[in-house]
Amino acid sequence: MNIKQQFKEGLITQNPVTVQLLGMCSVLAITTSLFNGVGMGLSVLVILTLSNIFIAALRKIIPNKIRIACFIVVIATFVTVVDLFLKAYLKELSASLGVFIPLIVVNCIILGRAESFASKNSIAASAIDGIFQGLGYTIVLVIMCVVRELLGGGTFGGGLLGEGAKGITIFPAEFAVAGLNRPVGGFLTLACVIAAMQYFLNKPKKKTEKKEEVAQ
Amino acid sequence: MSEAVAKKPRKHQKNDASMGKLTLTLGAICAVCALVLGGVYTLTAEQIKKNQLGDKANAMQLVLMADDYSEVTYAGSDASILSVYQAGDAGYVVEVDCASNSFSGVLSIMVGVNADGTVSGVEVLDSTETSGLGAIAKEDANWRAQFVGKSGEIKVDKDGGEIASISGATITSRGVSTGVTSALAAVAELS
Repeated sequence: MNIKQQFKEGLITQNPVTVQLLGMCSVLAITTSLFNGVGMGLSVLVILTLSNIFIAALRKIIPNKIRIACFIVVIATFVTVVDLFLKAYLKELSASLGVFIPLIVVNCIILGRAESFASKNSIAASAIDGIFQGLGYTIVLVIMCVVRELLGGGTFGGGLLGEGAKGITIFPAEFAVAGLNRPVGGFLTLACVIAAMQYFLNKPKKKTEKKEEVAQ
Repeated sequence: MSEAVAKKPRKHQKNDASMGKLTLTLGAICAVCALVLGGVYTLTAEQIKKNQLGDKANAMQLVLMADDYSEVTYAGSDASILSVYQAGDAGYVVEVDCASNSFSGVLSIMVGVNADGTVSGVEVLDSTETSGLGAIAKEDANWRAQFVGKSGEIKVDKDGGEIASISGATITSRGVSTGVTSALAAVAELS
């Protein structure tokens, strides 16, 4: 498996959120400001990469029967490590993500990649897989955050940019669609993102089919 | 019959692991993970403690401004009172654990009490209340400002009191109100 293919799979054709539909809970819950999205995305990226590396390294030692238990122990360890570091050195992020950092333990993306990729591939390939799958997750989170924050509150870059890190006001909050900040808005935005992604994924296929028809 | 099947040699070594080997492997992995966690915890514990103390000091300044806070012993029976500080002549600052009245487990608040026994300010220190509902208690200073100047038993509007509860988070609102009431009672006992 080459890097290019892994890159394409992680970001587009096998995107963990829009194609594999994994880890939906955190995607819906935390995508309310850019700061949350970037922070959560990078946390998952780091945890996914580390756990992939270690599970790949241990893949010949871990007996098949208890593999899931071993994966969860490794994943939980890295999640707790990241949680402790965030609490110590990035406490604003830790406070705004709250329970969703510890909940990465049960995020299907990490266990899914451990089971389907890291337990069957080399350490290097697993590390790259972790990075690209993590990037794919982060990108979708950032898209959701930007859309929900802009339409739901009229700001951009909440928690990172602007005065008092409240984000740059694009239009006054009175004109915003308030529901988009709520879980309902999360579902709607995610549906739109997935629909758009599927549209673009299926588009080239149709074109080639048409071309084939013409050729016939 | 079944024994014969079980003893049949298998090609995959992974599936062949005995109970002992399974236990050992999982035990070893757990032990290594525990060591790593222990190390990271020791590494970060000091900084986390510092952050928490910093948050607490900030909250104390916010609820009741004073140059110096000195802890006083609270001898009352209310287990939810975590600590009481005397804020110079201005009054007292009380840290209350409202977890038993919270919606989802963790809710601690800092209450400032003026010398005349009225509330000077309320801050939420730590909470795991639902984002967008109960978490508003921590985020919205205007909501907490309702408590300022109140005294005696504080209740939310649903229970016939004066505090407008956060819509969708009556339990959290009630928890904070009860906590503030306990803080006032604790200070009344002291002075």
